[in-house]
Amino acid sequence: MAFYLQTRGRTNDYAFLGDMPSDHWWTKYREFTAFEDPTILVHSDGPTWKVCLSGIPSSRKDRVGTTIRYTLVLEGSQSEERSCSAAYESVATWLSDVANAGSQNTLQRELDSEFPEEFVEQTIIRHDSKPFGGDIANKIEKALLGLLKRPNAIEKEPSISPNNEEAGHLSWVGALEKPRPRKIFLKRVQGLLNGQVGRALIMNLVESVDEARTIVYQGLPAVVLIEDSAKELGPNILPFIEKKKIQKQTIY
Amino acid sequence: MANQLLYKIGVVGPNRVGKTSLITSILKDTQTLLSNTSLSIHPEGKPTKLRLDRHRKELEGSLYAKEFNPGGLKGTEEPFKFELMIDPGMPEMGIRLGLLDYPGGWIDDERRPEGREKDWNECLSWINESSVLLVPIDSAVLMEADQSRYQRAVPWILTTTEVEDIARMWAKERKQRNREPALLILCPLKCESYFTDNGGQRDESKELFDKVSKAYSGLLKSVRDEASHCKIIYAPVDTIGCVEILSAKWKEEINLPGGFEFSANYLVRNPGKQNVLGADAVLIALCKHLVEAKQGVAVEIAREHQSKAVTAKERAKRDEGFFTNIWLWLNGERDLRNKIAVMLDKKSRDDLKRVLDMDEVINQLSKKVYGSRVHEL
Repeated sequence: MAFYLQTRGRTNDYAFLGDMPSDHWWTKYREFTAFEDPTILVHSDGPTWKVCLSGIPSSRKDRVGTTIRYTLVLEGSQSEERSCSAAYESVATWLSDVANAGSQNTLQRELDSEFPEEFVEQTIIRHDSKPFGGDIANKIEKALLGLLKRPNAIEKEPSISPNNEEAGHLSWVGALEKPRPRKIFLKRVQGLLNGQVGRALIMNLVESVDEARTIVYQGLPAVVLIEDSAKELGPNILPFIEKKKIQKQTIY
Repeated sequence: MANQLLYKIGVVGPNRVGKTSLITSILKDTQTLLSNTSLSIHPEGKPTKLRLDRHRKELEGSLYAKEFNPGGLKGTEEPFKFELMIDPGMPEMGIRLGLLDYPGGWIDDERRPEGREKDWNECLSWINESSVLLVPIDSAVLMEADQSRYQRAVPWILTTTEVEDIARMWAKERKQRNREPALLILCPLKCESYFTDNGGQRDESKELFDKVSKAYSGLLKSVRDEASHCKIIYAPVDTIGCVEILSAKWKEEINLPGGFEFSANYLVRNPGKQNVLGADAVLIALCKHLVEAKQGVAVEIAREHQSKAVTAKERAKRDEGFFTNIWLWLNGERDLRNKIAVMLDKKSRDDLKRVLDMDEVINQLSKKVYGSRVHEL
């Protein structure tokens, strides 16, 4: 289990506080998402999983008054129940915050309470930050486990639950604005954290079914939520036909 | 094969200086410059288009609310390659301008996050391969430092030493490729408060020029020493146009290397519409640069006819980078002209006309005289 947090100080540019992931795997998606804006990437190879949540606002501002953001990177295995819970809660909460367009900011509040400005400023200017590493991972975990105590809007929507057929499609695209695809998306995230192989993705530069399909066919099975500005999608998910052979250019 | 020239442009400046705003301004001002010509410029590819659209919306929203705050524009967290296409309206033809944006804090070795060396080295490779280097400069930091203790903080805030180091590295590479033209453009940004040609009240343009020259004297010397053939342009840009500094704030911060943090409050001038000025100089400079490069290749081709021992093609192939690109581009264009010249249908004639028009527009732009803000150094 490893939890990492990237943010910036008033003047120091974006960097991980303390330890950093050995592989910046999420940057492979840079053509499909602007990490400055909300992004959710969940990958699982079965035994292990990794999560990247970006564009999470903080209450801090940089020297020119821009809202400083967080990027959260989590890595773990299906056997670690505690870290799976923390990862699931963080994805569900960030998805809920994004879907509710800034009216909740639940994840922001939890992270802000564990990472106040003074702490961030002192930590980010230290280049020999190794001694802080353990503390920071613990603080991230504490913030994420704190989410368990908070209500989650999506989870509380009572009448929505995926039927077996919907949950069974390996790859599909759905509208981020619609509650049902979000619910089925979270079901998949739960599956990925518990050993299912595949990906769950929300990338803010992907706006059409065709673009989503291209990404899905470039790697492991994937479920994708997009902002459906073109109104291509209804309230339900749109399954993609599985390709027998994955194309050469793989993302993951 | 697509006959498109990729024009790599390096950008080097500190974090939050406004690199993305400069790229947006180049697009906007160039669209105006190319109006009434057969060429157009547009973002190439959806990622570039969406990012520039978002940046524009953030800015417009801020101006609409009449409360411009540079902080309303998001900073950059990951490197991203912006591509702008100068398009003659013919498939597979045109000039792609590639500008690499990255977190500005990375230029400082001491502040660059661990683990990003590989990404930073890729940025440096891009800069080295670029025959044009853009240096965005925060004018407000230079101009509002009205006490010596603030002035001492200026090099730290603008990271002039780090910018100079990268410019020197770039110039050394240009020295190695001395048959290629090289162009350095110093672009002071946020200049709205210091010129009277875009709605401002104060003319402090000379003072700005003097301060830029002084603050970047080391950089200028390094580039001149390393690459004497390099052309240097000073091109101040109003990226917003309708704003003016109301007050500047220097906050003492003992943890910062320079000891001070700078910020400014802005007034939005009516009617609160963005009015970019000066960024067209970048395209004019690029056209001059391109025409010079084409002339260089033409000389090589002429030599090729005179001497069979070493052909221009072989020479060009030995060089990687801009010169080879120009050579291939010109040859592709020539082949295309030859191909469509023997076709008699209307579409082929139209295509040929577009190719010739593009050449003509670039030639015309290259002959344009820079505006009064611009200095050739």
